Amino acid sequence: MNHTSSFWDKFTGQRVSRRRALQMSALAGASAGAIAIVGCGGSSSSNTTPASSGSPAASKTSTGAGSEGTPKPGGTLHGTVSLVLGKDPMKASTFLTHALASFSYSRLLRFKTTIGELGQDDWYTTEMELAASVQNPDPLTYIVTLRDDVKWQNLPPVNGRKLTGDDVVYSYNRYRSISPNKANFDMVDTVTAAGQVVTFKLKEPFGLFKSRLASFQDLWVMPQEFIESSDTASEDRMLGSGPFIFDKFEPTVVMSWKKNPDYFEKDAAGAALPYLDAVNLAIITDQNQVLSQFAAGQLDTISVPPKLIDSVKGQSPNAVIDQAPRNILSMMIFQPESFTGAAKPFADERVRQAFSRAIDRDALLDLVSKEGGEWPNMPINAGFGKSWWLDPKGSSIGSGGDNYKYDVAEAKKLLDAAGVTNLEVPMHFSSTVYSTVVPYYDIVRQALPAMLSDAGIKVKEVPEEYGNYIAQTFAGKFDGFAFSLESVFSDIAAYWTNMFYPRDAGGGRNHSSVSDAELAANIKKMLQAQSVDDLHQQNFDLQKYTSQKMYYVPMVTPVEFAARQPKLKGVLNSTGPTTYGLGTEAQLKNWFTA
Amino acid sequence: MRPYIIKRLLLSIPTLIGVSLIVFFMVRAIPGDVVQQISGDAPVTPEFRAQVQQDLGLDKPAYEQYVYWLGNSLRLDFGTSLRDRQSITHRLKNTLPVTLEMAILALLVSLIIAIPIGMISAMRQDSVVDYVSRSVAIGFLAVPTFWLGTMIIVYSSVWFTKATPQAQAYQQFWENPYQNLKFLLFPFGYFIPVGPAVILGVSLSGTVMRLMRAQMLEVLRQDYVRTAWAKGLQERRVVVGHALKNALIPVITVIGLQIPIIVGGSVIVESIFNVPGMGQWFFQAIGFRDYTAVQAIALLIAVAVVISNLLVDITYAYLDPRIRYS
Amino acid sequence: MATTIDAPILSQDPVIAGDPPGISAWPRNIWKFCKRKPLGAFGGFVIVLMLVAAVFVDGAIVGVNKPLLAPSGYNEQHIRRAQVDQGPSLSHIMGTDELGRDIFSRILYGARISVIIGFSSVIIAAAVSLAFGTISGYYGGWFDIIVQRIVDIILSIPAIILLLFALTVFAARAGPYTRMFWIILIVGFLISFASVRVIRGAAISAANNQYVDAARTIGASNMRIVFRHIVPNVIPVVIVLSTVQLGTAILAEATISFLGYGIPSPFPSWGAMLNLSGSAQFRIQPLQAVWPGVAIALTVYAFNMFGDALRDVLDPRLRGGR
Repeated sequence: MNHTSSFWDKFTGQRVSRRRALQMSALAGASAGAIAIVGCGGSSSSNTTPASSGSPAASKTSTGAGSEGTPKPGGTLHGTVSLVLGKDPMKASTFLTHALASFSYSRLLRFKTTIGELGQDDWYTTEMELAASVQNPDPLTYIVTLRDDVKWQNLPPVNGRKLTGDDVVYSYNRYRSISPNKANFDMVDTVTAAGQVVTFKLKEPFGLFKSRLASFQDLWVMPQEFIESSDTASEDRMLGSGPFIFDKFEPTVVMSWKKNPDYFEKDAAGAALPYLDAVNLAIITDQNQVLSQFAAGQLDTISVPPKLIDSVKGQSPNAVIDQAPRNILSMMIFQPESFTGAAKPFADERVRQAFSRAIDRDALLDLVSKEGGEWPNMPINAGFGKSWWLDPKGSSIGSGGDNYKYDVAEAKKLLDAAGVTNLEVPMHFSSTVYSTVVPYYDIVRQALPAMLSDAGIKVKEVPEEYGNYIAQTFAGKFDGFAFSLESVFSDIAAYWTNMFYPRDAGGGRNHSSVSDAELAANIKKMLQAQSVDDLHQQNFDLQKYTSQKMYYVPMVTPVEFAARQPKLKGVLNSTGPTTYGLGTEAQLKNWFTA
Repeated sequence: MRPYIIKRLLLSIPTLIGVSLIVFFMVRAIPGDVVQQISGDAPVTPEFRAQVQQDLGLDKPAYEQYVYWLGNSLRLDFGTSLRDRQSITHRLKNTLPVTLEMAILALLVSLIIAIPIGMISAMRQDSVVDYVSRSVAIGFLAVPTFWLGTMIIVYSSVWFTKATPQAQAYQQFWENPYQNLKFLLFPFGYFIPVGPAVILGVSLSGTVMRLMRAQMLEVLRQDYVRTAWAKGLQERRVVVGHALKNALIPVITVIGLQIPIIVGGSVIVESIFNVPGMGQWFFQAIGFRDYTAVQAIALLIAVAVVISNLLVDITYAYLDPRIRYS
Repeated sequence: MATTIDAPILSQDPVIAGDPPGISAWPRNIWKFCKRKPLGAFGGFVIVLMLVAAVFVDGAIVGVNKPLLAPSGYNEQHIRRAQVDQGPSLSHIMGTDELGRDIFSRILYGARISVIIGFSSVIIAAAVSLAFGTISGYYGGWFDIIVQRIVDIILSIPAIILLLFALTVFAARAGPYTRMFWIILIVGFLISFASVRVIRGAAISAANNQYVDAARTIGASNMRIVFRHIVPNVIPVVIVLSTVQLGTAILAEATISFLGYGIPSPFPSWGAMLNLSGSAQFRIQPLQAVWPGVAIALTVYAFNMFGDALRDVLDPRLRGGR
């Protein structure tokens, strides 16, 4: 199965040009919304294959805006999301709200985007948004100087007032009081403003602080007058400094925006941004509907369930297809008592390793995606790119890599060595929602018990509808193990802390209550690293360690697809985990050919 | 007549109270920490907990919560959705007409299918025509709504791809009656009546047809029909002039009792066809533990059922004096 | 007070219970039934087929540990791309699903699930509604009033809403078998609420018969009257109702499984095979969406047709006609 053996290598070939498309996760509604409902932000980092993948001519056209012609202002973009669950990105825990925020709101920094190919080195680096510059005179101080030309959208109660440092401080304080993700800024001591200069004083060094400022889940700058104009103002509409002005929202029908004529950014030629007159997101939960709408030309851009790409190509031969492994982590999580109280059998790492070795990941990938996919590491997924994700198939992973190799005999040996025989164990899973969100969830969770039974493990399936699954199993109240999905965070640090710190100390997603003091200490050490190389190295070392420990058993990361009509140009491509942004991140430079 | 109506009105009061009790306590019976469920996978902050408890009134004793909720509901204030923080009353104003319209259209469709079939079936009882018509009608009854909907979506994607209506095509009737009806009845073109209202109507028609046939059989045996036959009137005149009207009255009346079935069907049909009505809303709300919305929708539907039952009973009593004294 | 759709259809006249036919008369009676009620007979035939499939799909009931009628087990996976999502062929007459399982086998196994759920819940419904309907109809009084109110209340809330709710409350973390148990119980009770009315009506009209008055005057106890005169007259109504309700129960299970609240795959529930959230999958192999639907529709159709024919036969007033 060559397509699964080395995904990245394949894309370094000439056949297809590699670039990462924001738009996939972005307007790629089905999955985006889907993820939202998982409560598990997904970011699809996408590699783009130009329209007719395979045609050498196409692969050459994918660099730079120039090749697409001069942008033409006007037009309405028709996209889709599967659900809208709130409009206030600070209050929300779900990914979808965050994904929609940058239509109307801005952050200090954002993740780097480009039209055309974004090299791996640029993945996951930041660029300026509201900030004109960021200085880091010492490890504990970040001085952000705001642009001087940013105005709030020209609507009451702000009426186009200038955005100042005080607005940032207000937003920070609000974030720290109401956001479910507020622990992400626990390293900050004080935030002060003087005119357009905002100073962040940290309690301890944090190497990824600029990424945090760019994060989708955290510091959105929102105007005080608007928030305080009524109790529900921030849920009724959106009013910020972003490129689009909130127009209307009808539940399960549509959410739409109009162009903000006073938006502060200009394109390279000095023309006003955004080019689009309006954005219309149809709210459609059913993927079947989404695909039909796209085929009928009613939608300009969608995400495509990985198995169905051929059907889309058949119905829309001219569509431009982007592809990439998405950053949703799929994994087995183990009964928390395994780590808090040494409960059998999962307290023994050999049992967890045996579970991992019993899984034929390539067979699963072959089943769920036309282009196969990657093996995630824990907790860093393939979507982060090779500078962050340590490939379990690569050579640098060391002996931990063996734990990923499909080897039933070895799995049985490990079980024997651990003294586990005739293991019969419950497997929890969600019977609703996840299967809509992540097209391969249902297939993998059915194949899992069959694979484990080959290794002599008998699985008792425990279906839970989504509401119950999230409140109980996901929150760490379960026996046996569960097949689960993980929220998508904006940076690797959030994964490490959320999944391995103690629950009450920033480990909000430590489903299995993993308590490994050494690992936690090493994570902390890594986060304080000041040089990027050091950070990368420590991140890899930690992944080697977790590959050995298998606190969570990572499953598969299939290649997923997005499709767009060929008339849609100026699609911005961005970095791995952050790619779930819409608005600024994806639609800022969109335009239509005639 | 008046004592009967008063009696029926009084009887529906305990029913309404019972319904509200069930709706209220069903929601509270759902296991697990309500706040955690609502929070989803995000860690619960104390502020969030306080907010939800205040929204649901969970900080007070159960009976007090119930009285408070019922009082607000009577004033048509159903609070805000726990999911998107929007006013539930406001959203009801948008979704209720959708479902109502679809229900009315579905009933019309079902009558158009069921009345002729039921009539002919009864007139030719146990003939081939009867068998065929009944097979068709019971076929409609047997085919699951969800399957019909799924098949239409799947096969329309294969057969009429280019005719798929636009996602935002749903417009309220008063905004654009033409678009609205097209979406509900003929989304893929005028000769392909497979819209959501049609699917719902087809699934109802089986029941209505059986009723029609039974009523027709009964009426055809009545003395006045026999007299009409005896007078040598043509079949058409006997049936249309005498029997049909009398058979139709109970059929049309009993249609009022189909509300629970229509609502059940609309949960499915609306979810499949992406119709922004109460059914789809309810299904999503229960999946996301949007308790305030679930309570409001369930209560509203139940009240509608109780009222329509009341109206049906009163109409019946009016039509058939014997009932009043039973 | 007609709140069930079946109420006006079912005659509320008492059935004059004839002598039970002797065993020897069965073949002749069945033949007569087939000739007079061909659709009912067809329904009966499908029901027999389904029962055979349910019992002999594998050897579990006769004590052999392998599939008998089914070509393979219901969860025999072949997860290689060449083996999944295949169309019908000689080796898989209905094709294979997304995990390379033989769809025909799954449909046959699905019959077992449907039969178990259908019959169990209908038995519960019959028992509950017979008890409450008869007592309520015969004794009347406070008991009757309370039962009628409760029935009113439950029937005011659409069944699908109650079902979704009850399953979230009772079966939140239940395994497939426990879940099946709860579905049976809940569906059974919900159906019985719809029947109580009809049975009560039948009991009232039976109680109004002159021979009941006669029995009372000669001093027969209430208990004796109920069991000797009321119940035998009500039983045919119960049988006819139950036959049609078998279809209803199967449909109910399929619907909630379709919505993801019922019996989850890999268990081969027909409704779960159509799975709302996975419907996009059917674009690859649209026939995958056809088979389970046909199975459900055919089954419900069969029970309805058979029930109708049974009613025509058991109800003297509608018997004959032209």
